Amino acid sequence: MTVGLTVDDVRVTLGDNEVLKGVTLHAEPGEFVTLLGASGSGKSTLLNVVAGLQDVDRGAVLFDGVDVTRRAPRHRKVGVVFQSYALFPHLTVAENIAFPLHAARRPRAERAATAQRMLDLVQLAGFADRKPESLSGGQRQRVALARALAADPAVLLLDEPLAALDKQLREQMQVEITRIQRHVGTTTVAVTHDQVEALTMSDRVAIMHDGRLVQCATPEELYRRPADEYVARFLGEANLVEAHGPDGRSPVVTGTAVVRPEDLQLVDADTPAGRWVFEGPVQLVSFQGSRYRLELLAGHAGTILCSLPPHTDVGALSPGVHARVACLDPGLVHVIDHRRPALDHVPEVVA
Amino acid sequence: MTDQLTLRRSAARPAPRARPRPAPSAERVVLLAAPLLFLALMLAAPLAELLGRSLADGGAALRTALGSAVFLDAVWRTLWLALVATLVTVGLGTVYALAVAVGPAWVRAFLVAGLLVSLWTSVMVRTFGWMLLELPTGALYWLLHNLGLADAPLQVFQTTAAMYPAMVAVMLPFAVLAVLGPVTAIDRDLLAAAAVSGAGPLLTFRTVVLPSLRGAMISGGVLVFVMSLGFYVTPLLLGGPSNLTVSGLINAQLRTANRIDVGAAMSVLLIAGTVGAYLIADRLFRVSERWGGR
Repeated sequence: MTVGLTVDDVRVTLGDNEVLKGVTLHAEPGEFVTLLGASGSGKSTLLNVVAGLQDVDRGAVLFDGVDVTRRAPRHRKVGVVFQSYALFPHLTVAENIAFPLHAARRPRAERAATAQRMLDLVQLAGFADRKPESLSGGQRQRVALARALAADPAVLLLDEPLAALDKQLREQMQVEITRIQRHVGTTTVAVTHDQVEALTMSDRVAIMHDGRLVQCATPEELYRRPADEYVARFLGEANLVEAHGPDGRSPVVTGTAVVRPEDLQLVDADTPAGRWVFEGPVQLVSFQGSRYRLELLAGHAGTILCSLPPHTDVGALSPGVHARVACLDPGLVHVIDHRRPALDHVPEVVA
Repeated sequence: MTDQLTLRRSAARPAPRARPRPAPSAERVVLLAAPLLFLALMLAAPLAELLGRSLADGGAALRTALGSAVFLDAVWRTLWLALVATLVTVGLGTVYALAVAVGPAWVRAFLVAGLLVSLWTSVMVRTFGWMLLELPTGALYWLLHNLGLADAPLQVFQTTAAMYPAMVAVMLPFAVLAVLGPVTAIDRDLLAAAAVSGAGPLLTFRTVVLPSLRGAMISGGVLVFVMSLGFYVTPLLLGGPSNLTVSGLINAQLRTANRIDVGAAMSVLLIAGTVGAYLIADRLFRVSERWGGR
């Protein structure tokens, strides 16, 4: 079973703190949407709202258009992988996985068969009779995923599913979770604060900031055309510079241009000054393995960060030397249109 | 402080390599002296006296005690009373602790206050309270009579049925306190996991709550059981002569029968039995680890 999920203008206040300030989100059947944001952005609360573990002050949650806002968690048919995995410690792996079927009073034979099928799916075939305490972190994660999917839920919810794993295992599980999610085709909402995780696993990523959903789009869209400065800074590194009108000649600041460091390249001094050309004394050059990182102090544009390919000849670049960089394809620069007050301090570079 | 921790740790688990034990520092010896002296005077000396009396004349008093049908009856009765009181107390105590944990603020305040007041009030006073309640024309009769449910004075005072509620009431705080900490420490994620898996209250209780509390319930139960073995005032006042416990019998030996040696022998047997029960329970359920011995 898989459903389209709609969260409609949900507001949640905890004490004096408005945690969700009207969030609207839609996920197509089978889609993988990740909520990405800093801690305190409200992403976990939104996940709990979908699971029914958090009451809402206003707004609604709909599964395939059916309002489930007032439905208790046990009647929602959601599968949840908790950050702590929350496996029942005294039950075996198979009993844990079959627990949702046990709760639904399914016959024993069906429970056993489902447990076996799910164990195969998460590649833990020989582990049916083990206790959770004897499993590694990655294995517990798989068991938690198997349990969440065992009763064929309408929506799968993953709360920071990989936070407790070390880096290598995390990357492996990202691929694994994506594979399993594609296989079962269950609509999935995940929460993470890890950009790479969000970009790797999801069809779409929803950026949350201060109780609001700022932008929900495909990873490419978010990176290339961020809706605002927050998103531009949040995903990867960005140079944010003033944009003057459509042709760059207007004296009025009409927006903020997002120039990605890797879209800049070194150009000769005789290259004509163009719209996205920056020049100034080098502040820092550092080799980072796959890239060179270059920082210029480019006059009114402030510090410009530039990421150069590793074969670049940087011999002549040392701090204080005058250098010139440019983005030669204007299509790569995204301008955030300003219909509201300008940035606090323009220009700015944020790592 | 650090010395003590290291010492305890290395004693508790089988040390993989021999570690030199730090010699007890001077201040530890001084600090321990006072309580040790107190224990020697107030506990060890009387115990030695009891043991000496019961072993005099080649253990004649011990043999008399063990050969007495009244004593053996009292032993079985005491064990049975303690067992029933323990099971009921732990059951009620768990419910009480859960109510404290999940109830609204006013319920919580009321229940905790009840717990503390009952702990602060002497067992004797509480037992007299139950007496006033259970006397043939006592408070219970008054209530039932005014409700039109009883015509004749109640015949519960000094029966077995009259004794259990009071015994459970006396022991309840200990069971509640044993379970209260673990109740509040139940993993919220496990409860949430059970809920989203579709489990109702009963299955959640069986799958999450009970397993999380099992250890605390057992250790609370052992505590209540061991304490119940020494029950004296409550069965004596409320249960009447037909519910004579070992403690009651010892009292009778000392004060009525004037057989001090036999009383001493029975006391030694009761203490040995109690310590034995505790050691067995500790071996089975590792109770002492829960009560602070880490």
